[in-house]
Amino acid sequence: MSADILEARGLGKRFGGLAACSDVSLSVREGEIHAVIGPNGAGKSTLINLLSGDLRPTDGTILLDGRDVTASGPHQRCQGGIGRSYQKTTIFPERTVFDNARLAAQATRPGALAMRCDGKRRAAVREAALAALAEVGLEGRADTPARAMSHGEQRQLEVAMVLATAPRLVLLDEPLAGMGHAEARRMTGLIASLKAGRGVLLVEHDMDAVFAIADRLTVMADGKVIASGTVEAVRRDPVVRAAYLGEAEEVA
Amino acid sequence: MQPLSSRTHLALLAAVVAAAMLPALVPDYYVQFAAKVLILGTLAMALNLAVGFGGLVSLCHAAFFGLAGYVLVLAAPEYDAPSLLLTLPLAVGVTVLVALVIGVLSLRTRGVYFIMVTLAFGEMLFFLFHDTPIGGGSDGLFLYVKPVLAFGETILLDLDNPVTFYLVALLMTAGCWWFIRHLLSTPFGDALTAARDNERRALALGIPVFRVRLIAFVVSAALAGLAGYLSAAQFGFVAPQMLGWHLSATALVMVVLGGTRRVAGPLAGAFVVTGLEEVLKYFIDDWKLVYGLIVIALVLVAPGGLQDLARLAGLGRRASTPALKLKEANNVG
Ligand SMILES: Nc1ncnc2c1ncn2[C@@H]1O[C@H](COP(=O)(O)OP(=O)(O)OP(=O)(O)O)[C@@H](O)[C@H]1O
Ligand SMILES: [Mg+2]
Repeated sequence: MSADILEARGLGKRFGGLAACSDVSLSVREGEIHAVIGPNGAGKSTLINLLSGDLRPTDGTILLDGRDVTASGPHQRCQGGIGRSYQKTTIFPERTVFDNARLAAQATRPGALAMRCDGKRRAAVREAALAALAEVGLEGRADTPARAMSHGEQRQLEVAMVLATAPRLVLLDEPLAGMGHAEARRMTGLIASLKAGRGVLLVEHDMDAVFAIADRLTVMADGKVIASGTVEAVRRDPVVRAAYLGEAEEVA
Repeated sequence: MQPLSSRTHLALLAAVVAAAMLPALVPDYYVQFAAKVLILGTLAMALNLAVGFGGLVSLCHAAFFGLAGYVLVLAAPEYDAPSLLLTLPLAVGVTVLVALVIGVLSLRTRGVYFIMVTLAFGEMLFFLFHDTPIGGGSDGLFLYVKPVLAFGETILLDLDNPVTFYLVALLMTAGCWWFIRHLLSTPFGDALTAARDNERRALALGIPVFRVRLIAFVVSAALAGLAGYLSAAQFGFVAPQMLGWHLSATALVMVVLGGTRRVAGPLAGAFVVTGLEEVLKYFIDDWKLVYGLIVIALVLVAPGGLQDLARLAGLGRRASTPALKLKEANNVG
């Protein structure tokens, strides 16, 4: 069994009186997809924000490769190998698709803040950016302004940007939201392939996709983990069925 | 931005050569006016590195401009020509140190708060020179002899000569343009504009936004200081007004008029504002009122200028990050 890339212990986040996350412990190993599901407002995005450093936890610790990174900022965690996407697409709409990927590739490579132009470095960054675009299937759209792309393509671009930073841990916040059926299937395949050599933490409402590709499943409700384990075990859990899955199936 | 091409370099060279002909074509008075435009244009271009490319709407750049001028006058021997090689690095060096302190303290804030905090720091420097005797108080100080660049006994450059002065100002302006343009084509420039466009995304891509902004702020202050040094040398005089918010705001008007997206835009803005002042002074006694009204009208019709500024200050509807989340995110960095 491979080692944990990320481990969260007793994470808590309060917004004033509201406990958006409380006592959340989970881990992500290399080579696995760990899915987090739960109803709206369960605290899934908050959890991702805590893990990526966008938010600071009120309680608990976060270990990246066994090192305590609880106090480090989002850019430091990115440099440490954590890449993330946002629930609300967060790209640079005024720039081209290629430029979006290029910025991402450049920021995590040597000379990220260099004040000189270096042809070799530029070429290496370019190659990494194009490789990331190719991985999500956007290689043909490199010169399109990001704002001119469809919603689904923008979601793909955001994943390409995450990949361009060469992460070992990928945090995805509802990557399939708002996608058409074909796009979603394509993206699901892509996410499934990401776990090779990486760890993936996937927050997703699309249960079919989650059940198809997740290795482990954590269910959250009201900021707390109510179940965690293999997909099969969690699916059979009566608490989960009552609190979440049953309800979801009825709706569906 | 793309790296500078050899065509851009040629165009820059041609522009500089053409501008260098000016003293042969017009009387000294206009040469001095042109030098003044170049100096204020450099201040405005420097400011726009922070405002337009960094998204940092600063209201204390006149303080950097004036501070460097004061350092020149204070460091100059009373009856001898100050050495350019000694006083220029000193003036810019002091400006850099002060900008570093102001930057560290103000870059923790965003949007309107950043404007207010920089305004406050600028006014602190204004009152430091206005209310204490270090810089001659509200009367200011004279620089009796202009700086020279001397090698042993040979004087290579004497800033007392208006043509020499103009050419030095021209060189500074062109150098400044080239430097900012170059900076924006490097990974550092990418990081700066990425942070301007979306701070959250920039951080999540691994860009140390605070550090990048601090460096840009200090570089921009250093260039403003360079301009301020030459301004003190041109007029042979420094007064607290040189550091005040009024000049900071005027430089911002130049930026808005010239446009924030192009490096040379603010230079055109400086020409319009300074030229307008010059013309009105000549024709109208109570020129300031008319000047103010025209500037307001120009700013209002400037294409995109004001919207750009509002967007950069995070006042527009397009501000990409809810203030609350941003505040949270900043607690970390
Ligand atoms: N910045 C914030 N300030 C105050 N409350 C917040 C903030 N962010 C989230 N919350 C609250 O925390 C709770 C958890 O929100 P979160 O976005 O983590 O839920 P989620 O599981 O991602 O939901 P969804 O499925 O709708 O995306 C919600 O009640 C939300 O209103
Ligand atoms: Mg969410």
